[in-house]
Amino acid sequence: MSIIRNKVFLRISIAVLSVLLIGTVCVAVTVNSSNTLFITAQVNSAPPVGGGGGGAGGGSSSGTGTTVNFSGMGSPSSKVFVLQDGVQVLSTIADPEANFSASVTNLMQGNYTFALYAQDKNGNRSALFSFPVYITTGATINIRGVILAPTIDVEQSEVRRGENEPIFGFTVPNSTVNITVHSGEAHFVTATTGDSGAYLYNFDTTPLEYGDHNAKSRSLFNQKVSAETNPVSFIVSNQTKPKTPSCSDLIGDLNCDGKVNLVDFSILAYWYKKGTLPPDNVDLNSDGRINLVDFSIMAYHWTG
Amino acid sequence: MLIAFALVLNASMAFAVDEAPRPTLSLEGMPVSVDQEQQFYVDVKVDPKGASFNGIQSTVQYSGDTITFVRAETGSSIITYFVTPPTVTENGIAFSGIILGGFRGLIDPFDESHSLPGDIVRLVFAGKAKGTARITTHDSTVTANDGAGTLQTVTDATVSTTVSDVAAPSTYTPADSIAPTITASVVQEHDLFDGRYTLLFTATDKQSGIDHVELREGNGEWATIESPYVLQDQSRKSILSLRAYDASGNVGTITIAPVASSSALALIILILILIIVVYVIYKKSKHPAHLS
Repeated sequence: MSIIRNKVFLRISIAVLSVLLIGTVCVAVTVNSSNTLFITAQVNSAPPVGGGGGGAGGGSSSGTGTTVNFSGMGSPSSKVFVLQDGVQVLSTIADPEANFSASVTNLMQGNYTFALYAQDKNGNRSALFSFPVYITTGATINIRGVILAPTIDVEQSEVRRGENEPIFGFTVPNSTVNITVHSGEAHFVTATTGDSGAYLYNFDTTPLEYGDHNAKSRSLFNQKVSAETNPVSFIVSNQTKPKTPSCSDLIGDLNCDGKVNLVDFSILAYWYKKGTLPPDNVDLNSDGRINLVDFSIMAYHWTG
Repeated sequence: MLIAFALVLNASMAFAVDEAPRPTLSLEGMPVSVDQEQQFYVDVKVDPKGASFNGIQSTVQYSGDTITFVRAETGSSIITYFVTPPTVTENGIAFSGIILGGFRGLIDPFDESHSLPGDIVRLVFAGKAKGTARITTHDSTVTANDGAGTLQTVTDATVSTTVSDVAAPSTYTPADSIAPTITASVVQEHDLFDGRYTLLFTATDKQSGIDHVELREGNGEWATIESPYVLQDQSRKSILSLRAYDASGNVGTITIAPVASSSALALIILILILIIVVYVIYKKSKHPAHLS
């Protein structure tokens, strides 16, 4: 059985597709186990070119000069956020076919880390899709083919063994969604999406052991594969409890404002420097101390 | 030529995945020899080697008898937020930080490889006394970008140079004429300094990097601070002035307005109302209604 592992790596897959004109290059870059970005870059002084893909128009920061254009797919009418070095710089709405495009302008030469994620109508967020890019002065860089991870959630925080646990979310319309339920062994199931991009799978918990489990998903669309979702957890026990919104649903949201950003990082840094026993909500891996592991967990769940 | 290059790279990456190598640190830019009092730099870089990590910590040790540490520059660093900025400790120059979204290699659209090692920090040293100078990274660790912060070992690096017996003072100054940018906010959070007003800020300089940030509260003295910083004036009546210096001496500044107290706000509103009333009365007295 072909299993898509959660091994994320940067790999150059194919080659240079073409040299369109002097100073312009077009390449395919695989940024994780499956998701291929198409990047074109050109040094000129011409106005930036649109991101292509025919998607909904994105916002743009003010100013002129070096530009990075993004385009890709999220889920229909989802809100797509663009982070620049961890800070949200713009957002846009994907069109009904889930296409989006956005541009960041007025950049200076240097290394930047851009990250994108989508938020569906239920408020659930997809995993961060990020890539560090070196920006050359005066360049226009088009990054196409971004396939954002699906969103994912479960109906019940605790489910009686043998009952179904609905696993649902949003992604690209008319795609196949591979869902993995991780426990002692991984269980693989498949759902599909319609025009709305919604998917739902009632997972039979009979084969699961009592205890904590989590589910992830990724979508397949036109031979393209999205990034994988962050895990959503649930408990198999002797009772069923519906999931209620909680601050702890967003790991790393230390001040419960619905975001994981510099404020949360600062709280973590404060307890790291203080060196005393941290509060339970701050100690993200519950090992009684704050160290790089806690910061890593927070970085993984960052929303900007 | 471009296509051939990419195919070769693809083959090497396939090998890399099969062998599952660990991220590798490198020290680049070290000159073969230096003179005494001559400044030079060494770039600490990391090649993920196919892994994806979002946290890194390391300590750089150096031969203190032959070279001296001058400063660290982080302008081109891939680290989004430093948990510990490069800091001189008894064990060497320690640093740690996180990379949001993880690092799998730097993409340079104009570089054929498209998977470049990332800069962590540039360390500037100066020759001190004749002899061999070694610089090494120690106890380096990364955390996997897996949501659990799984610790992974890193291949450390060592470089060396020869310090001559000639004194030839020279200063390394990065080319940078662009001022840093600062974003800042004042927050009150229960788990941060017991809910006291705290200043959070990020200072950015993509060229030479931030050297230090200073704060002045009201008409007080300028003081070097780090974020988060608990404000001295908890009344929030002081104007906060921030200035960030980069390694080339450029300065970026911002100010944060104080929070107007409710009584002051009410007084301002009252004065405005009085002004409007007086104006209306004045206009009516100049142009009585029966004359129009």
